[in-house]
Amino acid sequence: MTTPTPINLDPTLADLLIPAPDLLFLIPTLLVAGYYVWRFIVSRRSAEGRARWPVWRAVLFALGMVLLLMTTQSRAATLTGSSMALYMGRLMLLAEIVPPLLVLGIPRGIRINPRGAAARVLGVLLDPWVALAVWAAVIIFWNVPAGFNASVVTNTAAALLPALYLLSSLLVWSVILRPLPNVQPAGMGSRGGFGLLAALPMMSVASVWLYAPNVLYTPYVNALCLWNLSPLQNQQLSGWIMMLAGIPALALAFIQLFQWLVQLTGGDEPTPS
Amino acid sequence: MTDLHTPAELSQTELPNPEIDSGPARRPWYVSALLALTAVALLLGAAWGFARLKSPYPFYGTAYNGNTAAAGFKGTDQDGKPYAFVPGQDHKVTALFFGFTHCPNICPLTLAYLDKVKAALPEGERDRFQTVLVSVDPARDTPERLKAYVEYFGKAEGIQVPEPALSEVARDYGVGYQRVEVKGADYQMNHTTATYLIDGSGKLRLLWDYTQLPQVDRVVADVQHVLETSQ
Repeated sequence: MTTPTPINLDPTLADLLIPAPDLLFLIPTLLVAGYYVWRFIVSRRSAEGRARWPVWRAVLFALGMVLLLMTTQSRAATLTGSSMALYMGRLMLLAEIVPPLLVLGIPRGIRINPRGAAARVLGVLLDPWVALAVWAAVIIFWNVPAGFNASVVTNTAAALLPALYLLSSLLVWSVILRPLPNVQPAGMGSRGGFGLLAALPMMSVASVWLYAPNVLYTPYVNALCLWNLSPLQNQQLSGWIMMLAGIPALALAFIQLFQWLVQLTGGDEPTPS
Repeated sequence: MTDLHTPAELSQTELPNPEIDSGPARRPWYVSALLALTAVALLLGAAWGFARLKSPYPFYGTAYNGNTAAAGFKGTDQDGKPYAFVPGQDHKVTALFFGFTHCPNICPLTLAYLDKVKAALPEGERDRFQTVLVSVDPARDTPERLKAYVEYFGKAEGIQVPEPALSEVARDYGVGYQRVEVKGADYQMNHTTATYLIDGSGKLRLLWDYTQLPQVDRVVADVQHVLETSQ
């Protein structure tokens, strides 16, 4: 028989980072990391491979993987039920920091047989409508107070939500950064617009946490707060974390939109000699 | 044939195709919208399937895995008599929570709602359901004070467990508690506010957060299911 995990109310950073393996996350993560390392080593054999897969991409990917392991394989994961701020911080790392690092780590020039199964599946998953709908569903269904009392929400949050944040955000960041051009439609303006739309659900939920005058705790995050924060402070801190985490994606969306506007007005045309 | 190739693996005849690099043709918007709806339906369906796999009964509270043992403990009850909690003893179903009598809101509300839950159960099942409050403030919560408290807010067992045994009991249930100094007033206790439901065979079945307890009907449905499935 198993017993519940004990709680430490004043964990230090070192306490939070004590390894706590979660095999459901660990095994797929190691498999993906292993495959990446193998392909990266193979790419080093040719000059073209080295050019298309520079070391900085591998470094970003490795950083993403390290953060992924820290957020899913440490004591921090087991303590999220005791602090909404920690819970939100962990989810934001999984949604807004790890995915862009992993997507930026993908080498340029990967060709996928356009008639193959992988291209068809990726073509659907990386359709901006699909990515946006899945991302919005994850953010809204599991984070809006109206849904908290649903049995399916309370009974899946702890186990599924970290993976759902990671996977749905990978889709969103893949649409924004377009790592697989031959299965993803082009268009800077549509990517910028998509980024703006994708940022809205999270910013809206962050505003609810930030400005609600009362404690709106989810049933799966206990009112007990680590580090002696009051529940309302904890909730507001969660709102700040969510809002700050969403800013890079929002900023990138604006940059892409402005870039599109510049292209549209011919502002990037070379100066005539 | 694998679908994925890096350029280094391509033969000289497979030079980059500008048409492919510019991306595939866009789908009509209504096809994309239909795919998006399908993806959301699949996502929510999978979440529902996962929840039913975890617990076939749609508990309102958060269900434990089926094999989570509840821990027993010893202390002093509100009548000053020695008390031993043996999970599942006499096939009783127990709502257990950790609180303290100086608690201004959560603990009295929890007691009051659990009393409503007991009152809403069919008469034949009421005797098999008990509420146990373990004090996280044994220094102030004497048996006399616990007696007045549990009788004022309903009918429950109020148990005083001295330290260090209390910290062991709390650890067994994954409960945290901490003394908090309050300026100009007596100290308070920051503590886990969950109520744990232990079935008649001594297993932890689910927990409710205190924010869930006001929906008494749904809490009653959870208790009735556990009563029926742990004879």
